[in-house]
Amino acid sequence: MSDLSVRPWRHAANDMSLDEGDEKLSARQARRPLETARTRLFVAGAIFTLCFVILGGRLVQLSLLGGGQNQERAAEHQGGLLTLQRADIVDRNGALLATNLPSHSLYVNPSQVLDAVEAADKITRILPELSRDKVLRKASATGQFAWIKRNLTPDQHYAINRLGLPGFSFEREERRVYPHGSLFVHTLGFAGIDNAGLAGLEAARDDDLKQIAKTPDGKMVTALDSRVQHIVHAELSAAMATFKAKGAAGIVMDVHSGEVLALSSLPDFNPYELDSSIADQRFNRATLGVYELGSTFKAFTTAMALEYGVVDINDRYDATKPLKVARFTIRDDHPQNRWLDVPEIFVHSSNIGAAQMARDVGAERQKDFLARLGMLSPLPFELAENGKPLSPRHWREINTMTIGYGHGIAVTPLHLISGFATLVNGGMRTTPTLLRRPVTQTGERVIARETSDAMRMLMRMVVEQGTGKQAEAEGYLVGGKTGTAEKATVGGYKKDALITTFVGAFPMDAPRYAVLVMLDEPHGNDATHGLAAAGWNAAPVFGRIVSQIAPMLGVMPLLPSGEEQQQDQTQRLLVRADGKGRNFASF
Amino acid sequence: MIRPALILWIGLPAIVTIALLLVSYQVKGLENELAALERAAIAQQEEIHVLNAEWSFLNRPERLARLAERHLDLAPVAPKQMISFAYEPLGQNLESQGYVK
Repeated sequence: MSDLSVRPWRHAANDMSLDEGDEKLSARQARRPLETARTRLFVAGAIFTLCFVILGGRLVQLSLLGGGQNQERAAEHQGGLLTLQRADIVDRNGALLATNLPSHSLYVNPSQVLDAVEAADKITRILPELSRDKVLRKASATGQFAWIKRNLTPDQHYAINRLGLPGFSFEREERRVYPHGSLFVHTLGFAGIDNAGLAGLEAARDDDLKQIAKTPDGKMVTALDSRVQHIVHAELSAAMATFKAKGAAGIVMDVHSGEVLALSSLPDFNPYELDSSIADQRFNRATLGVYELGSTFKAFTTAMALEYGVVDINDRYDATKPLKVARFTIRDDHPQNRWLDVPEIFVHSSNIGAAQMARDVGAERQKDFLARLGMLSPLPFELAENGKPLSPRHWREINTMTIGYGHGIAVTPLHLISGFATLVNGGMRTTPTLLRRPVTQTGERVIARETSDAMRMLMRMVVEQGTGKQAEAEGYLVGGKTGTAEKATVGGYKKDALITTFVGAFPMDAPRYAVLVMLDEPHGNDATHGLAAAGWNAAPVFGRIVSQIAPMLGVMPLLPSGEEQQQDQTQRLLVRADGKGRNFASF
Repeated sequence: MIRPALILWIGLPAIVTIALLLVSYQVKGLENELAALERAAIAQQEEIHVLNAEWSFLNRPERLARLAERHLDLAPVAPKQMISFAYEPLGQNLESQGYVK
């Protein structure tokens, strides 16, 4: 090839030499193109060789040495994972509370239906709840798509599939399932047919649930405990029947972390039968309903008075006769008609004493104290249903005094138990949460540890010798406060419609859990001598709940071997006024 | 001189082509197998998921309480049945209660 290509150049050189007659010069000139060609050939060859070496090298690298991004991809490939549209919700022990199950929905493409009448007949035979006319209309309409029925049961799916009707097909969908039925309906809420959260935690954490669903094995861990929830639910149901109450609410909370272990509101409803539920069943009494919770607020008044140093535990107030303020008269439900010291005011639930104590603290400080306890604003709880407390716009002296014993301010039961948790846990603000949260998170300090200690003793005394005797749970040092309030109506209070509450904690020597029981319009019966006060209905429910949940939650009972020791243990927790305190001016 | 080289240069691509064809069929087969396995795995996962839901449904505390009451001779733990080693110095009270001789 080189000969061929060079030849014409040689001729040219010869021609040139003939023309010019200078052979040496022409020979050199004749050699130059030859060299150029050789160089080009060499460069081209080198480039080709390089390319082949690179290709060969890459081939060896890929086939023999491995590597490359495909290898990594292959290594990462874990196989398909089941992904759902909404994440599971589990309780603190991992028990499944809500999950998505695959289901099939039946739809029709009318343009492909051969015999609409026959199809409608056959389908309504399998799905008798559908109207034949409706199915017929859908099957003979003009269009491409119409749902016949969403979320068939596996049996229905099989039966319809077996009919082999042209034009009728299935769409794979997911259905939200609550294995516990109505047990958690007021905490979890429910999700709609298109997997959008419509109430409760499902609505409040809708986006989170969808996000978590994308991660493999992701689930939302709540603070709830299905065993505790069951006991609270069962005891409240029993109490509602016994006392013919309109409703009930119960909460169990960890006093340190604010985790809600159980939250029940009765009456409740089945999340699958939403259409047949009534508004009263869907109403969450524990977190959305705001009530004047009565005497339970005396705990806040007492803590406040002790905290600000307005009173000492030994000080006394005049409760000899009803207290007249402006056009109101404040009376006691359990009148003692004598001077009462601070523990006695609390234990006998004296409105007169609490009102005076609140007055001495003053409106500003009371408002500030209740705000720091979180009583004046909605709680940041993980539910769509969070009630906003009602408090007076103009906080006058009479408001201060009535709020001192729990009237003129309406909060949700969840507010109340959070406040009590703060009182007994050493004084740190407790914010309730429905999600699992480590104990290490502590809120700001609301009251001093000494005040909290005093409150624990006072609450224990209520059960030991006051209005809450029936809250006693054998083996556990329970303490708390009763509250019986008449329901507010337009322009006054209904005498026969009560809200009774018992809120407390256990074990009182080192509180771990707070429990609240509220009954809506309970009635007296023979066993209660016709009385409907909290000490007769809410308190015993509290006791029964504690004695069942405490062993589950690993709270050790105090069962000393000797009688003597028992005396010691309870005496240690009692405070008694020494009779040396101040007498506060009468009115 | 020309012939062995020619045989080499025709034979080699032919072998490589056949080998490539075989490998690609093999890969396709493996991919089908993988897809089938993955489908099976997802079906299994779905089944486990449904069974988990059923397990939770069958373990409702309300149902367990009902069944325990009907079939078992057991009662809920009473406080006096519980004791912790922290409260009970080993041997001290056990002896007096006749547990240890």
